[in-house]
Amino acid sequence: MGAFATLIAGAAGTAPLRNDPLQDTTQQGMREMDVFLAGVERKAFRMAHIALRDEDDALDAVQDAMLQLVRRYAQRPAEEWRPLFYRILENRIRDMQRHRSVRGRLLSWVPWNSEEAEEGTDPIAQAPDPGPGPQAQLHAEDLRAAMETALAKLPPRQREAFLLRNLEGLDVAGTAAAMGCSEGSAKTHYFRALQSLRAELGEFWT
Amino acid sequence: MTGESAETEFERRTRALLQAGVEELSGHVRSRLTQARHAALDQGRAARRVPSWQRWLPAGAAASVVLLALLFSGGHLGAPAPMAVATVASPIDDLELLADSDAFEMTQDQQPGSGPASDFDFYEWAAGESTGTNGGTAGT
Repeated sequence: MGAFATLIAGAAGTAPLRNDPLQDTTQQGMREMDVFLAGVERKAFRMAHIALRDEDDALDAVQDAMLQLVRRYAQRPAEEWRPLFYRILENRIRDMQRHRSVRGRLLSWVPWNSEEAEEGTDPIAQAPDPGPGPQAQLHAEDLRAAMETALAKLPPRQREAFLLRNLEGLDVAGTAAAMGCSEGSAKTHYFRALQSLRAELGEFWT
Repeated sequence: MTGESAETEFERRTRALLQAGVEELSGHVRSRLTQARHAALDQGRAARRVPSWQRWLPAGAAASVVLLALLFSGGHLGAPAPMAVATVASPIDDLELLADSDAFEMTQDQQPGSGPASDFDFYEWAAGESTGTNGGTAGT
């Protein structure tokens, strides 16, 4: 009866009936999902942006991950959302990188597209906007740019482990769940990422 | 300073930088993220409003069409099968002919020097074999 009432209300375009348990559960679930997504969206965007080096692509990846999480996993317990969301996001990022790699290879054979291809990898266009600020802020911008460049050079799994633990703040178990691997593998990826980053960024940290 | 504490300091600094990058996202990006979140939630709500049986309607309709097409064209689709079997079997028959010594002898009969009467006998026997009028002398 409740589901039918919801169906009628939805089909007629009227306001949902009050005291409808299904409707209430859905509304409550969507509110929780809204709060969750609002809490992770910026970090997710930063992760996607570091990996993809393109603002539009990063936004697309985050939006796709949000959509898939809501569609497929909204019914799952809320504590499972975080690892699920980041796993979806990483898969999406990997898909986009693969697609971009294939497209780049194909377009490299097209002579009239060389200008556009160069435009896509223009380091000046890709660099973060430093904006006005004191010398210290510029130094911080340099540090961040160097770190993001070093992160972008890491193998995907290492970068994933490092960002999940260091930016998102997941523990080893959460990182492993988000990466879809064992805790031992997550630890190994994280440790190797740390080693590589320290080797790469050593000069900036002195 | 031990290696462990140096590592912790490194992690702390990288985390601070990454967090600063999150805090300093432009208003444009924040706005687009909010729009993306609302779009995802709206689509999720819309999907939940549709009863589960309605989600299967397109697939059910497609399956029905395929089933009906198969039912109506069943006799026509089954007809070519024997021809296909015969076509496939013909190379095997050829192999049997090649391996059969009698068949070899028959071709020998067609060589110059052999009489045409033996060919005639064979064809006559073969014709009788197919019509069933040979009787007991077929093998002799």
